Amino acid sequence: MRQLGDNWKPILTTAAAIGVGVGLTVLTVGTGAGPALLLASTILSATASSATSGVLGSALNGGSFGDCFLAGVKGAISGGATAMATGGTSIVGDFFGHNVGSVGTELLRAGSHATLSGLMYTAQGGNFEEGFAVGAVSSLVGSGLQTAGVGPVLGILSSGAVGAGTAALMGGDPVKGFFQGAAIGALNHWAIQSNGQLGWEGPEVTVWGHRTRLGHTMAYWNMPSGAINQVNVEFDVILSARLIYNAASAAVSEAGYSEDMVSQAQEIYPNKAGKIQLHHIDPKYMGGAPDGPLVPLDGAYHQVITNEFRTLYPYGQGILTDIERQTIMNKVYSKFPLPSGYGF
Amino acid sequence: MGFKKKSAMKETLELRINYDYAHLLFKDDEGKNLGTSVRIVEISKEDPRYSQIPIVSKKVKDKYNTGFFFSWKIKRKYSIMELEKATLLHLKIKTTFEPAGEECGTIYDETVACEICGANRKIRGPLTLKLGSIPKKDIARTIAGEVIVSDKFAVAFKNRNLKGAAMNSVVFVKGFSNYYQLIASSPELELSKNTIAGNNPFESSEGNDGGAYSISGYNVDFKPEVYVCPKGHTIGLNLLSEPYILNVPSIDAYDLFVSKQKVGVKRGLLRPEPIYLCSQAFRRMVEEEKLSGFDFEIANIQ
Repeated sequence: MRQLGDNWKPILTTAAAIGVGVGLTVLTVGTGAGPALLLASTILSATASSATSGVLGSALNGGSFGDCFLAGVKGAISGGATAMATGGTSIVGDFFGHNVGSVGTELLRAGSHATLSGLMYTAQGGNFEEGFAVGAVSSLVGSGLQTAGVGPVLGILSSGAVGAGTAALMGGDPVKGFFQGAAIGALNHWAIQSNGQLGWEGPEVTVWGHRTRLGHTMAYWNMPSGAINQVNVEFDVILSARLIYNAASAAVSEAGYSEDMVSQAQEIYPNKAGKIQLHHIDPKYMGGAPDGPLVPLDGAYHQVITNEFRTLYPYGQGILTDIERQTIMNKVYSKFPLPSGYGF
Repeated sequence: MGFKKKSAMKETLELRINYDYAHLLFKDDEGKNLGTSVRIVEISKEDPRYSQIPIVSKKVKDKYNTGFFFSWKIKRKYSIMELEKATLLHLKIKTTFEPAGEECGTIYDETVACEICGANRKIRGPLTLKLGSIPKKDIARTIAGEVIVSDKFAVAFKNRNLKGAAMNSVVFVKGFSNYYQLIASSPELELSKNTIAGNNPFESSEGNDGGAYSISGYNVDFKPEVYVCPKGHTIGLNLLSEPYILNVPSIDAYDLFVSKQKVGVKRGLLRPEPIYLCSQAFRRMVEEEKLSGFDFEIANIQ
């Protein structure tokens, strides 16, 4: 319970983001929306929920209007990119078909996934090469496993595992790589087939579904108004999992950063309190790029972070290797975490 | 690594040890704790634990995925007689500051620099710096290796008829400057192969491949780097031994020199830097005029 109390801000932020996403989905999807409208509304929903996460996270941590706005824009881009990437993965599957084609077709499929994946990583502030590699390897392995007759559960998990492994080898986030690989497996190679009706009937609602011409499992249900709502099951499950992971990652990162730490710093450096300064995450004196990622920090908190860097690595010491730089940054930021949602 | 020399010189390694793991090699009362982050320990090469440092470092890295020590500094102590007898001295600049010139509007021509290691770029125009950031010392260097000296130094150097330095006025973004950029005008001196450079006293490599890392939830890109230039411009990331210089007549004709070969890396604002060398007359000037910011070690002539 105490942990819950300490971390109420990231929990509230995540809950609000998911709430906005679900609300917008209910409002915009339905009444027999076509695939294009379905995708557009899903992107809108993901964009809005991620923007909410960014704005609320900054506001709760005492960010200015500008900070909140920037965090919201960043969140929106990230969420929109995730939705578009998931939609794009699905479209690639629809375009190339859900059965293994010729070698050329599978190479083109892998190239398309690689490019799309690279662009998604870039839009989220990540590394194009990492996204490209995850997309390409997951797709090629998916084609191979499908040819070998591997079933959907093992196949999707394997594609995900290959994506995770590739991401890890590239020094990236394995979980993100898993989702990308699993999406490629699920929306391309093993689009779940359910010929006939799924069927479930409750007191006031009837749910049914069938495999579409494009190979996706669509679920339908009747609305109280008489309209019929529909969702693409694989698409929505994967997108939801990705967005929840993104929100949870932000929440975990945010959990370490607290107003208490800033307040303690302000007691030590009262003259710097309340003055927002931009902090180079990778300090310039260690070789960080002058145009490298910046985080706005309270001046007092900025000072304690600077002091910690100078304690571990003062001027006049031997020049660091890349591993040593990374070690020092990890050490400093594990003691004095950075607020999430910036990095512009 | 490092070079063993038969002299009264005492060489020690100052390590900023990760406080959490200092107990793996050092007693609780050894060194000086800086809060709960770092313990500063000074150890001589003769100490049997010296050779254990890389072994413990590897264990800490493998088991805890962090460093046993964060940074290091080699210290050499000489007798007064040793220092006074040396023909050539390694001039070390004790104070570093930022912002660097590039951040204040100094223009560099990078097209003339080595395309592999980034050494030997040329400044175009005056060195521009920020007034409030200049340390109150008679010599200091920016994080990019730009060396500045005070008016007091410039006057003393001129009055004593010392040779081998050009001093160009530093320009401040705002305000009047009475500082000068120190540039060696003597022929560059060649380092011999006995000069040892490397990543740190326990490790050496020719560069790194770079990569993208997630640090505190943010992506940070590390670009590929070259520590040892195949063209011979840069010999390593750090100087580990005393410098060894090939003998040439110009050593007796000037009072300030830089080495032809550089140490360091092109990374952000950092660039490979030469080793600064000076004569006994230069050292005497520093001592007699009580100029601040200097340190001297012995440079060997071969």
